[in-house]
Amino acid sequence: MKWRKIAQARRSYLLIAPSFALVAAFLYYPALSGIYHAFTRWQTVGVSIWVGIDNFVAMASDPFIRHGITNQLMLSLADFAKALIPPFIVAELIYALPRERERYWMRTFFVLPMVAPMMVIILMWYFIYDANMGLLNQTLGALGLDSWRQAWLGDPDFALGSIIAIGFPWVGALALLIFMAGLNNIPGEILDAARIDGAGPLRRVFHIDIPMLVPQIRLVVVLALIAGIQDFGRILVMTGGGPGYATYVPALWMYEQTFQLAHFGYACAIGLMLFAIILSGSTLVLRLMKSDMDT
Amino acid sequence: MTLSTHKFVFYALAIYWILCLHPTSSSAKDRVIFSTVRGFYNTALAELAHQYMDLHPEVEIEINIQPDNFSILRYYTAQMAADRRTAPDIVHGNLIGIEENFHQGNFLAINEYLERPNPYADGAIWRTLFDETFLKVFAVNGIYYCVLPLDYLDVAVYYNRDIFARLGLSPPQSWEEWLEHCVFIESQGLIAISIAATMQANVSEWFSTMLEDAALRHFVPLVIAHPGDWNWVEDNASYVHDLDDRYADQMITINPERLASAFLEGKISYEMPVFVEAYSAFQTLTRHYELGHLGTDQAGAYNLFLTQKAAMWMIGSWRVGSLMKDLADLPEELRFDWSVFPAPSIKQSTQGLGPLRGLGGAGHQMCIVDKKDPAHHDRVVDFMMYLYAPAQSAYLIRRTLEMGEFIQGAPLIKGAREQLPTDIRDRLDQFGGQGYCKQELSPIRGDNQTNAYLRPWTQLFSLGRISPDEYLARKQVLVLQTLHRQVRERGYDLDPTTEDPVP
Repeated sequence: MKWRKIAQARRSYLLIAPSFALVAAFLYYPALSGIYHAFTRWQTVGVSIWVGIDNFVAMASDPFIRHGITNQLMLSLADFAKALIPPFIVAELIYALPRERERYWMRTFFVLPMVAPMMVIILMWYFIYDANMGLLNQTLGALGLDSWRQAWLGDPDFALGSIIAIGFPWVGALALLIFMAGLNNIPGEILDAARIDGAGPLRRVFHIDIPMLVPQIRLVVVLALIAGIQDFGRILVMTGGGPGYATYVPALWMYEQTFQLAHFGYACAIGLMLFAIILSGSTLVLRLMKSDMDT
Repeated sequence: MTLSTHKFVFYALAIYWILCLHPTSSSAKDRVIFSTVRGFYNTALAELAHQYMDLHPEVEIEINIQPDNFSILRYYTAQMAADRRTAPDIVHGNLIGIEENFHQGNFLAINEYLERPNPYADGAIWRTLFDETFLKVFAVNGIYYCVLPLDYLDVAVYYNRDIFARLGLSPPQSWEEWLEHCVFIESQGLIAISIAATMQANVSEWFSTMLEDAALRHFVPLVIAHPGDWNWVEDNASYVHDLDDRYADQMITINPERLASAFLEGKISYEMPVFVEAYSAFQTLTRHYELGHLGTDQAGAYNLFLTQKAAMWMIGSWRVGSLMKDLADLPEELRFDWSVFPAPSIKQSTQGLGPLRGLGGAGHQMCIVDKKDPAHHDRVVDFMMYLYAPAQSAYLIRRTLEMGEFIQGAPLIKGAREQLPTDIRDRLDQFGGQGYCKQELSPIRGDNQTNAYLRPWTQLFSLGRISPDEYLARKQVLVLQTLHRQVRERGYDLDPTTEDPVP
């Protein structure tokens, strides 16, 4: 019976087969290969030797990993805050606008910057931070605040903070749209009831909107966690991990281990560690933020 | 099966058949991949490849152009890790790491080929077309040649002659005078030296390399290959230990096992006073770099010089062409006169540091990848003989300049240099003449792993966050770790008389 059903739908299976093959070849096979090679010493010319957990032991004493994890923790905490707070506030403000037309234009205004490629934005900030010719220090100089001028990317005390500050005022378009969709889905009867009971705007936000938006908040947090750990491009472009260890993150060190030092096995081990962190972090977030709506 | 299913299978098979056809037709040709970086010689190189293919229709030359230095390394590393047969055949050794690749058996020793006649140069023995000095300078352990030098470059301090004249300064004759110049320039509201010192492009390390070379020269008698050593060469017999002679150790070979032993036994240590003096001098100089030099890339450092915010700029001869072009593009009132001077030497050294030497060498140090296929190697070398023949090398220079592209430095193939326009040749002639740092004296030269672990400390050191003593103690630990690893990986038995095979 089962085979007969498959035979009936053979054309569909045939058409979907190339997609499955490509996904398997280019996504699952490299990932599984990476898990295997995390336990090998694989340095150029295609030879890999099984070394058990040696790569993970080496990681424990690797200063790039030690400093990298601390930096990553700070970046991730900042990423959570940036992904949640400004978009939520802006979503609430737009939601509070009385006319649909105003809401439409304000939403469009905040979403429009999404079309700019991320690399362009990063490079723009790179020039803003330039210590000698950048907009930030030039502005401070023009305001007579010369003592505030800093080597934003060239000083270990400021470099990580400068990377965190990229994208100010941090109104992420995707998070904004997610929150807007969530707010629009709150049933009108609940809001009417709250209004009749005398709830003011702040009380409504904290007692109705936030509890009702838990699934959206959870989604935004998980996306921020994954993107924050995987995305080392901004650091690679802005500081290359320096000065010193100030902005190194494990993903950047994994990249350098792969393409500059040709330590593929060790790089796979770092990748596996990051995978474990993302998986456990996402699971934790999903469990901690389980809402009544999930049951 | 319905008719449409028949059609689907028919088209699928037809596409598969077409895909199968392509590799069959191209695999009949011997394929040679030349991997290079964008911006230098690209057009002329592609044209020469076509000319070669016209001569040899059985060969396919692919000029693989990578966007930057790091991309070449990424491409090569990834290809070699997968399967060396698909890796490029000709690569920039200096961008990838000559010594490590040679020791790992990735680069081909070309000694025998250099003794063969070059059919594209009237049968002249190939070796005679090169400057012998450069072949020796780039030899690994003095006896294995794997580098084909194409063009000569060196580093120097570019300076704005108009600013210097306005401030009554002339090029400094000593390190001490240079520091005084820097202090004076800064007092006039200008940046003394613009330099790139990011993680990816740390030009500042060139100064520390020169100063370290001046210190390491003290130990040449300890590590030079002695008679009976496996890499002894006749030039070693005539070596005279004179720290003031920039060329005294140029042709000699250093025995890597004597070098390793000297460090491992504590006869040489980075914590010795001579290194402390060298690195203290380096740290003093870094105070005169632009604000935020650790976050300034090469374009940023160049902009500071071009806009006359900085009086000096540290870079190499490969920027001569772009600087000349950019200045010519500027409005008349924004142009300025410029020249270069070499890094001056310390005159009042307490530890007897000798004169600083240049980092001169070939910009394009082309190496042939060992694919364990002698017939293919013959083909690759034949193409290189074609490219490195005087007529073709001259064409490379002439055509590159015609196309408005840049050359890295004066060509090294005999007979090609005369093709340079006088104004560019005059500028390029200002580089060099200071000797060359003896890179074999550094126990961690070309060791990407050690340099990666040292770099954060070097950055913090150049920022003045750690003292020379702290930095050198850290470096000494890393060097000893590196040497233990090299002994293991290269199979050294630390007996300088026996050559040890890689395990």
